Amino acid sequence: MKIYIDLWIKSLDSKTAEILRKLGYKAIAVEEERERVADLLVITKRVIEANTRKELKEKLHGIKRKHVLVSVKPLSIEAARMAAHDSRVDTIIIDDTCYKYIDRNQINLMKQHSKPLELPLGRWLTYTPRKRSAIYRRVVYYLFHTKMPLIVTSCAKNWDELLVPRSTIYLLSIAFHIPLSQAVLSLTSYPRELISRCGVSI
Amino acid sequence: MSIDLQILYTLIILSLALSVLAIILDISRTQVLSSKVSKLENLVKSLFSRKERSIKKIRKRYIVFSIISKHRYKRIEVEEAIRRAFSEMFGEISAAKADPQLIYFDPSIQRGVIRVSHIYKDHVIALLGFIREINGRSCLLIPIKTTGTIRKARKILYTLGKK
Repeated sequence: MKIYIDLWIKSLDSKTAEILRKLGYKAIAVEEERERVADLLVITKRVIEANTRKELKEKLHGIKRKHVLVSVKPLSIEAARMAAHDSRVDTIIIDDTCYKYIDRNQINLMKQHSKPLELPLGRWLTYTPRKRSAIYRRVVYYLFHTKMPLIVTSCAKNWDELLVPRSTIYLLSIAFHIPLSQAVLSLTSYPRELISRCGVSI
Repeated sequence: MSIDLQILYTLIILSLALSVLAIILDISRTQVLSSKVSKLENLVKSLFSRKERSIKKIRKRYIVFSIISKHRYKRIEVEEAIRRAFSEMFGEISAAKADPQLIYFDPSIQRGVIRVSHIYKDHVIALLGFIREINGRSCLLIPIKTTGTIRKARKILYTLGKK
């Protein structure tokens, strides 16, 4: 049986937790946990937005490494490079605000330091066509060319923004031209590896 | 002198025999090669013909899905939402080719069956998870199972994953 993991849920309430269970998720990373839930492995997620290297350093300072997943949304090239270098950072997010800084060199650097790229797929579909295709190019031309893992998240604030695993896998396969067996890994094995790196086992 | 001539003749005959042998061998080799080439040609032909046949025959697939929402939807609302979402996501031409039809919908359990051509089956499954609202009310569509017959689809509709 596949273990689906969503590594970015903005806020978790009882309704969202119930639907997550229905959809077959076993573990999630939550930014803001409103209620305690059973039957789901919940870890804390910190999303850091940084304009400069110094700002990122300051924000990373004092974050506990155990049971906390750290993701960075770089808002400048220097912050992006620093995030790729720093061992405290688990993933680097690509969205409409920071896709410009995820270039070929950045991806190569991420490969060197084994930092996966995180794509909020639900939001990606709502971007303007220009931004959507810019992100698509970065993922297909640079990321898959270097055989780097892609992690897909929902970034859900409400229950209706959650990702349906089966649909997500098929969409990844259709949109990014990757085989289904590889698309499954974006929701299962790659996030699981990250979680186990944070000291949690499933 | 006569002995020399005899040797010469024998040598000539031998060389002639050798050349004839070489020609025979060459012919046989070319025959083997030609047979191999013809085999390959047949294989390629069969592959192409199989592909053509599969494209020509479009089969139907039945996708069973359920809706999670606070509201109860009617059949027309759901079908319209699916068609609209398909043409938005994959384009008008693909929508015409795929022709996703909601052939069965049970409003009491909010589950239904979509009929689509086998080529666009993946597209419909991908689409269902990303329909976030129908008529301004938030919802989530979950694909449950894909089958090849409507009878099996109906059976699954009422049995699988009732929880």
